[in-house]
Amino acid sequence: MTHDDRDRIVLSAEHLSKSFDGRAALEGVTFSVPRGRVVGLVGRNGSGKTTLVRCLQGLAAPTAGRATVFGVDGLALDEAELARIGVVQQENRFVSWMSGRAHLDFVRTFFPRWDAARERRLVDAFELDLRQRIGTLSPGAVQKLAIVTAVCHHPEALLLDEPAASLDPPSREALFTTLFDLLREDEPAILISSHQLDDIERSVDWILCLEKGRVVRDEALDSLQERYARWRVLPAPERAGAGAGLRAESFAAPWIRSKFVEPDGALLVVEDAEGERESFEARHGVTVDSQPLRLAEMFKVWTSGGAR
Amino acid sequence: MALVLPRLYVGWFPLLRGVVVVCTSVGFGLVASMVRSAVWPVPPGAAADAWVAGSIAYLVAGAVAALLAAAAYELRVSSFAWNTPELARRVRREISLGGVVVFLVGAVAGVAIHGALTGESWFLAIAAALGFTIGLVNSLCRLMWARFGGTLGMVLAVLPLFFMPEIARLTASSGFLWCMFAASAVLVAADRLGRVLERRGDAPDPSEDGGFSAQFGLAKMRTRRAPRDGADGFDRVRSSNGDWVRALLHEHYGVVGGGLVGSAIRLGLATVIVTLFVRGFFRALSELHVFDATTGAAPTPETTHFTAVQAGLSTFSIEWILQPLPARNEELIAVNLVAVIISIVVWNNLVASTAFRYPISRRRLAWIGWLKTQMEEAAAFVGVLAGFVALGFVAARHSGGDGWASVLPFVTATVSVFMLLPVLRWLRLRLVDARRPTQKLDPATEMLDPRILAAYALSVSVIVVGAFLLTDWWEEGTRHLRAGTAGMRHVWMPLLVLVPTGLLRWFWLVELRKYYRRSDLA
Repeated sequence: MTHDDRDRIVLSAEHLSKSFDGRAALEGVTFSVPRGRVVGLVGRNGSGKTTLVRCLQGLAAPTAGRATVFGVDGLALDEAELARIGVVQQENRFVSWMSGRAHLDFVRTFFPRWDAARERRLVDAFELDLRQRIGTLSPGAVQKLAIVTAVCHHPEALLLDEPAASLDPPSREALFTTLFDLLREDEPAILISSHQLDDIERSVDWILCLEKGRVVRDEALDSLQERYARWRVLPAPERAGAGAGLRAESFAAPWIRSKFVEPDGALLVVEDAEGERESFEARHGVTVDSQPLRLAEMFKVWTSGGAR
Repeated sequence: MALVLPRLYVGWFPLLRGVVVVCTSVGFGLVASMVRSAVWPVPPGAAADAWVAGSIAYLVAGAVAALLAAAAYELRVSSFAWNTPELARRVRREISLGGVVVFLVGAVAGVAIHGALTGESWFLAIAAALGFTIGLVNSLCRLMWARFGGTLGMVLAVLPLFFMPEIARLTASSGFLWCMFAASAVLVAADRLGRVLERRGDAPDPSEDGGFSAQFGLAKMRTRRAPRDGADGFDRVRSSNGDWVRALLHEHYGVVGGGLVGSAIRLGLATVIVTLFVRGFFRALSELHVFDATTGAAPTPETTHFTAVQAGLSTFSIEWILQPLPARNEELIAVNLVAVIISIVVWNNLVASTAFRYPISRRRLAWIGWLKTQMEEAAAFVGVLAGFVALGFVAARHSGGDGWASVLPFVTATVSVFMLLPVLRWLRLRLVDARRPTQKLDPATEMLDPRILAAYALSVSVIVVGAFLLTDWWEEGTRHLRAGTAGMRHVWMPLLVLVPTGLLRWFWLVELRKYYRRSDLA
């Protein structure tokens, strides 16, 4: 992290731990998000993503360590700081008898910086019917309303917990377009938790991966895409002609993260292996076709899900 | 700057909720006055007047607090509220302001009544502060002033009403000090509720804890009632309708507290206790000619004064309660009482009858749902009837054989209500369940939904009026039959009961089948 980055830190956690009845949900989580960065928070079910987001908001008290927003401990955030945060929860709950219009009118009166033009733009993009009562809206429409509520006051930190879970593809597109617009206009720090890894890969520039409450990856997406690759390993043409089989069981190296043997070759997921390629080909008498690895495949490697 | 909480009462939906809170408050007043009159009558005069004035101040303040707390609660469970600037602070300020206003109104009313600032004149302010504090505390303690079935909350609300004359006596000396103490309680409760709104540190996550139900302790209640794994002892593949009905009853009632049988016994006991109190209360009104029990004529002016009612109630005793009331009035009370008690139980139980999903055909689901409702009705009928028979037995012992007459109208009313129960079920099915098939079923939310309460009120009214007409028709028929032969009477009377009972149950089965054939299921 550069010195400049350190000055611009918006969201951070230092050795953050949180337990529920002795069961650890987060263990020693440390990370930071500077202004203008979009971080994809990924992890399997129960890995601690929602707990982390709640600790940052000050809704859950850490068992050890601290979670901060704008350098202020989550539990000590005052109203002025809270007003600079936008949140979309995994399950959003509003006053059910209000119409969407009444809800937005109610909320906007509390925010001096409420942007009516942005509200109109988003309502149009999401095709939200604000005349309907919230209690009768579909889960997707409620999610859209939550997104509008979260971003119209120009937040400097945006915490999105599964924001696209209930959205249809056009609405997901609109959501990520909105995020890019926000980045251009306000440069907020955005933490977005999601299982939609393709969406994450398209829209974030940093990945924070949790596994069983621990950080297993905290790195720029570009860097990950450079470091990880999928190798399609085939017998070298001269050996294939000689009829010698591929001895995939002998493929062992610390940089091989997973392997899958096929009748005519093997698939390897490798990490930091670009310099090893030639020697590997020579040692095993194979040819390697290296391809970039998708985030979903990296995710399987980090979370012990295996890779193919 | 516009107030926040009043904005949550704009529109007919939250206003209806206000009506519910007011009705509940009136109900608390009635329950407290009946119980107090029965067990510890207040002598007429200053004490009784203080009781009335203090109770009114207490209930109005409690209702105001409940309304404010309900609006605050809606914000509390909203996901946008925690980071909305100024929201929690303004809500806290408005709740405190509400407390101060009801306190001051109480103080001014006290001075107006007593004509000077004395120890006694502070009593109304103290009663108002107490009502406001308990209205808020009820909300804080995951109970609610306006929630049915929250026993602890109800007791907490009714107890000060019960002891209001003693509170008046206690605070008559050092009234100002008590007043300051009460005002502090208001401010502490208001501040506490406001802080809860801030949701700091380990605040419950609505998505994790079941939201409204869990907040108000209802999830715990349901868990307690739910059966343990494998507790129904069923060890083969379910195939017959009986198996599925058994599964449904087990899922709904479980084995804790005696299951369906235990539920029927509790209903019987509750019916007896409520009947005793209600009969006593109405008997007192009748004795005092507050209304003319035999003709229903308008009251005479000298008998409508509250202290006169109190004087009558002070003669409350078991023999007196069990004496027969003039028949016409007795019927009215009986029908109302039985209809309302049973309707509440059936209304609340119906959810599970139309919202279950088993891996069987829709037609069979309808049949099993119908069978379940019949078993429930039969159990409740036996429970209530057994209660009245026991009451009749006690009455007969006390009055040497005539006591049966005092409970006979209740038995007739019970039969009439049970005849009409399918109509209640049908109304609920049409007005509530069929209109929101895909929504999550949350009994706590349901109790605060004014539209559902309105549907409930309509359904119960239909049953009450229907049962009364049926009882009337029955009386008339019996009178005519007395003139006929004994043989005709033996044929006609069972027909009068069985034919409508069978027809209405058949109608319910047809409607349930129609519902399951075409409706979206939960």
